[in-house]
Amino acid sequence: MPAKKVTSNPYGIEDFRLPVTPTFSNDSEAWDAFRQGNESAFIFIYQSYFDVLYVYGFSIVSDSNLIKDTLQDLFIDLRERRQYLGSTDSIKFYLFKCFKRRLYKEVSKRSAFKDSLDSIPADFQFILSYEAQLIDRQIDADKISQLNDAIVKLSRRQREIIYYSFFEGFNYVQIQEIMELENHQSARNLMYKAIKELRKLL
Amino acid sequence: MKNVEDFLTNPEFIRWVNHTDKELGDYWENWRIANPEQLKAMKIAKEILQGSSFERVMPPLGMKEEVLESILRMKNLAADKPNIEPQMNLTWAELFWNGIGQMSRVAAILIVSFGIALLFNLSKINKIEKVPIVSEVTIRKTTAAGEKMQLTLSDGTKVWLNSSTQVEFPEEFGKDQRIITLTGEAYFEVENDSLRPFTVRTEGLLTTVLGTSFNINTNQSGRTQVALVSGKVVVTSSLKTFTLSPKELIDFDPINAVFNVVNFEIPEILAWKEGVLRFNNASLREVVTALEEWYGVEISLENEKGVKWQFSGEYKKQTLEDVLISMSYVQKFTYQLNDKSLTIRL
Repeated sequence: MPAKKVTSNPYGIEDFRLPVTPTFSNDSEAWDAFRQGNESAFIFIYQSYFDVLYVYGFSIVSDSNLIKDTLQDLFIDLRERRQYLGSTDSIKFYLFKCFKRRLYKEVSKRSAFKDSLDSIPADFQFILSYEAQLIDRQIDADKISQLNDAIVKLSRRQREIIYYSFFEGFNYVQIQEIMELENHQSARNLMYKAIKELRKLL
Repeated sequence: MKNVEDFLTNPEFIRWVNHTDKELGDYWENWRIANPEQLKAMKIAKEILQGSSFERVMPPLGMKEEVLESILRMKNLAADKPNIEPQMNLTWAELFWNGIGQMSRVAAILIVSFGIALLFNLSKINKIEKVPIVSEVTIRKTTAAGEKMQLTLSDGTKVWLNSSTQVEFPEEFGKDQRIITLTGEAYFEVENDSLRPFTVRTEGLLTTVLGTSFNINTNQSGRTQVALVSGKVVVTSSLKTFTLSPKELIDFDPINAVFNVVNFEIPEILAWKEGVLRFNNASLREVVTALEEWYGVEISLENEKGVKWQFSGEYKKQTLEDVLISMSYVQKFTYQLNDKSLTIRL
């Protein structure tokens, strides 16, 4: 098990926001090392997933401080309770799930006594871009802009499921769990309906 | 029978298009060959996936380090409890620094001073909060193979990105410096601002300028090349500092720590920016790599053994088809182009 990771860096300049070079062959290995108290495994996990969790958090609530505090609490908690945590083969999904639960709790706590309108959620917006360089194009610029209008009109949950599926690569079992759907068939149906809305235009 | 919905709701198809699973490649390639009548639906699905991008709001510069530090400090508090040896403090601190790499120490100092400079600027945005927060938004722009992009930064500086390139910069630059991080190749026309130097960070090098135009390329097997078109730039590594004059190019090889300053011809270096694909006595390998990058295709070669090319040619804003027609005539090969995969038979 690699202990401290000292990056060889003879030139003194380095992108300080790059994650520590991965030293674990898969997620379970890193997670298990972390649970057994390996400190570089914790730092590795932290460095690998902080940004993506922040991005995710910002789609739920656009309040940078709230996301920061929630992330900090999440990692502190994980670290303190490390020996009681279960195993996982997807650290990313595990963290997404824990983080979502906490963030929703925080958001509802706040909106109870404070006007929640000062934080407008980004609502999982995504856009289609027209790539001028693409060869053998099937969809023209007009269609792209029509599709973008349609994306805005999708329901929040429809965009949320597209986000998990297109951009985070989660499977339906994971999506069902994180969106608290009845079974993975209903996840599939929700996704199918969302895509069908867009497909009408093609 | 599959339609666009079927493709876009299939996690394996999504994984294949997003290149996160190489093993799926064969499956979908075979599927495509077996089901030519559904090729159109598949192409549409692929285009939607590749063209869609999610609005990523990245954490403000330095937040990740700051939070990590507080988390590790929490452990320190626990370590201060009487039954634990006082030396623990040092150990945790050591672990922290070693864990995130030596140079982060310097970076951390940078963030702090950068952060203070920003406090004032941003306080007006956060009217709701009494205490001003540093919420600098980092923008990341990426081009895929076959793509190019032109950007104008908040200070008016123009940047052209070549294929397979990524830049990161703050939405608004700070009061006393402008920093942008680059991997790949880009051409800069920097807006003059003598009070705020403009710095490009690449692996192992900092290029600092005060209003000038230059090209940086990090794509050449780990090397960085900075080519100056006009003005003056200072190129710094931890080993040496160089000042470049126009038409000078510095070639930095970080593995052997070798610097080379040579003269260059402006059209040759900047051809890509004008949409010109140019070859100058290029080998077969070089041509293949360039075509893959330029048009975003995957090329496989047949019968390449013993074939040696010294190919020269210039193609201005031409389609891949046109380039292939002319090139195959000169170099005597046949080819087959299917969507994004090209086979060249030599």
